Amino acid sequence: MPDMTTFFQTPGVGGVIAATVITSIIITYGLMLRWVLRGYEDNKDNQ
Amino acid sequence: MANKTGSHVLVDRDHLMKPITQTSGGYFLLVFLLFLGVAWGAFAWIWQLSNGMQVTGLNNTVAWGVYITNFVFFIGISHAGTLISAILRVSGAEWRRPITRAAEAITVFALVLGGSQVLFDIGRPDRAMNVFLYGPLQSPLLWDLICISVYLLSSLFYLLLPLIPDMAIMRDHHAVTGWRKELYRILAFNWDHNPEQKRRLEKAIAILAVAIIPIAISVHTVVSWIFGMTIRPMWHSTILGPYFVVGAIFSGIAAIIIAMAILRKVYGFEDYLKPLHFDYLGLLLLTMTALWFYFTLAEYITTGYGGLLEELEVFESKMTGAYAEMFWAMVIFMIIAFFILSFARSKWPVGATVSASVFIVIGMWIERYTIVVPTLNVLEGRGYHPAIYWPSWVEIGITFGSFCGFALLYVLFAKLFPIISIWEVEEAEEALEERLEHMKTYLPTGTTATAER
Amino acid sequence: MDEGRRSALKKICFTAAGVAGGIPLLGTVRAASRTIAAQHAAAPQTKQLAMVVDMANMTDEIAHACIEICHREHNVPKSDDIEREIKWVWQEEFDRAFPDQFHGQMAEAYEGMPVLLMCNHCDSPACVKVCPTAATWKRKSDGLVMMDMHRCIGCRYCVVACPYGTRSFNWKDAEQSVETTYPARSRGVVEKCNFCAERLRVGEIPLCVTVSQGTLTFGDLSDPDSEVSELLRAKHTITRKNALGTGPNVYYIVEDKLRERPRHGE
Repeated sequence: MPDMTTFFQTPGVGGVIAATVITSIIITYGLMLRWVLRGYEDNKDNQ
Repeated sequence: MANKTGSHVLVDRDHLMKPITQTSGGYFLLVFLLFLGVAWGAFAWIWQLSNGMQVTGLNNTVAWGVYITNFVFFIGISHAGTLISAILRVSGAEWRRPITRAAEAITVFALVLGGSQVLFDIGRPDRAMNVFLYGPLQSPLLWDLICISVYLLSSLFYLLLPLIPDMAIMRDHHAVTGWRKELYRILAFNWDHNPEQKRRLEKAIAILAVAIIPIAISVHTVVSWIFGMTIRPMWHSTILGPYFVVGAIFSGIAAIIIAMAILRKVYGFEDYLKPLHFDYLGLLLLTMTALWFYFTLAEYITTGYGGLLEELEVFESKMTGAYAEMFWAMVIFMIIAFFILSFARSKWPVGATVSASVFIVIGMWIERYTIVVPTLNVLEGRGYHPAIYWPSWVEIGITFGSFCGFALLYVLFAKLFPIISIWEVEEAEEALEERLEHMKTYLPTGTTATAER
Repeated sequence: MDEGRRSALKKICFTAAGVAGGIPLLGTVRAASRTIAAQHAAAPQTKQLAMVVDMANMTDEIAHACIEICHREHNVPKSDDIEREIKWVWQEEFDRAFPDQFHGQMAEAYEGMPVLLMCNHCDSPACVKVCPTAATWKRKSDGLVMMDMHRCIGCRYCVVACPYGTRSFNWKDAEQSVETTYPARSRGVVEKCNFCAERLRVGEIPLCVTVSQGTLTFGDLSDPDSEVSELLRAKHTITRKNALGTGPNVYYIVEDKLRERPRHGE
């Protein structure tokens, strides 16, 4: 098992994780919004 | 949108849009006064930036004071939106409909103001990016950064999603012209009220409502862990996480009640924000008051009874020492709120819940203060007896400016966006029919149940 | 059906994201696992610099000399405001420096007896754990708790987390002293005793030790033959707030001040 203590103490790890989480949340919500708004067109395609 | 016009729930769209379409002189005066408050806070901050932290009342013993108190307080207030929108939505409480928008807006603005407090507090705001560049995951501040960003983004999205159909209504309204029409057109994202869009919207909102509950809990838990993870007396306590969450929801409900009362009076929304809403929210508030007393008792009786040397110093400074006035003021405020909610709520739902809420909001600010400051103030070992911390005019100015800024953002939001969700209120009747159908599936209808037996 | 499963999955994902904030906890659990057995272990495995303060022989004159030279050479600004004064090393009364190791029945000499205090360069430093920029860190090569004043954002989390009050914030700009080349600090950052890391680098001992007339002993704890190790074996020593588990590396010899004792090294 890698030394988790070192991982949690490494400078920058927290920042990278924070940035990743923030970015992925923005992307998720962006995709969600797109899915909602394209409801009409997607529905047409299915028919 | 089957019953846009044939609804029995009478929604006067023009009335709901009145705050947006008409502006009174009083409104300008209010905005002007709030702006003055913000300007005063901005001046105080500039003063602090140019003269350094020496203009605060802080020192090396009490290195955190009013800013951190405000931070915790505002983050707490932000839980208003979560509770009203998410919990009530998930539990299917129909009466939530006219309240959701007002509550969600509180969440977003309280988070913005809460986050700003950290910038006011740090000595080198110009280096704030270092947290991203060098932050180790070990620091509770990183947990806060992550959780609060997620919460802010989620509550912004949670505010935006149910706003889309209303934006389309506004876009198509005859009274709306000019740049505002353009704004609504952009924010409506080509919404055309078609059923599939709406079905997906409802679904997305439902998912988000579920997701935002653990996010909100995580936020106030890690805020408490800023203190709880240290080894300072009465900060280092396992109860702090749940205690902060309870306090957050508690002050959040109180804040939304006050906001609702103001909106109701100022914009004449008596038909939408009815005494029943205040009564129900007051009941929730009463429950939270009882819960708050329980947590407070659990925390203080354990500390006082155990009587560890350092903890007892803090404990006594709150019970009988330098912070006793504040501590007991908080307790008395909560007792008053409890009695108002218990005995006056059903008779005067609006007046009673609003006055109780004022006591609770002030009491909760004091609670945050008496958690942050006394622990620091008892530290000895620096070669002198620490004096009692008192904020300077700069700290008071920035605090005042922050509260004005919060109100100003809210007032401007209500000017641009319908503060009562138009489509959600209109949709209530449809939902009612669905609910009736649903009820038939679990209530005796005199056919299948008896036949099978 | 597929739709339903997808939304359920999404719900799980969002919930997971929400509680993800709790995961870093795992890291600190291990970082903080200082058991009593660990504290009883004879010597650290890696180099750990430590200081032994001989309170029995420390006089006010010696203490003042230590403080004077440290603050002068490290460009620590003078201040009239005791609550905002920057301190690397300072004096405090015994009963207030060691509140958990004092009782009213102690010899009178202990009450109010000045003790020389400084950063403890702990084994498990509370300040290092909480720093959001790693501007303060535990140096692996010699166990010093270091401070990067160019990275510090001045959040003062370390100031409030340290249970010893060893950290000072720069409430205002300091001026460059002409007596030293040690750079003045800009306002808004935190600083503290660094065991004279800048002198250790060129093979010299901390300044306070040089003027302590033998009352301060400095050395490596992991070396059983070092002066500090020998002294700690020979004398009864205490550390500040030992029960907190931070593992301070500044040790104090407590012997009855009223009794005549041969000075260490004589």
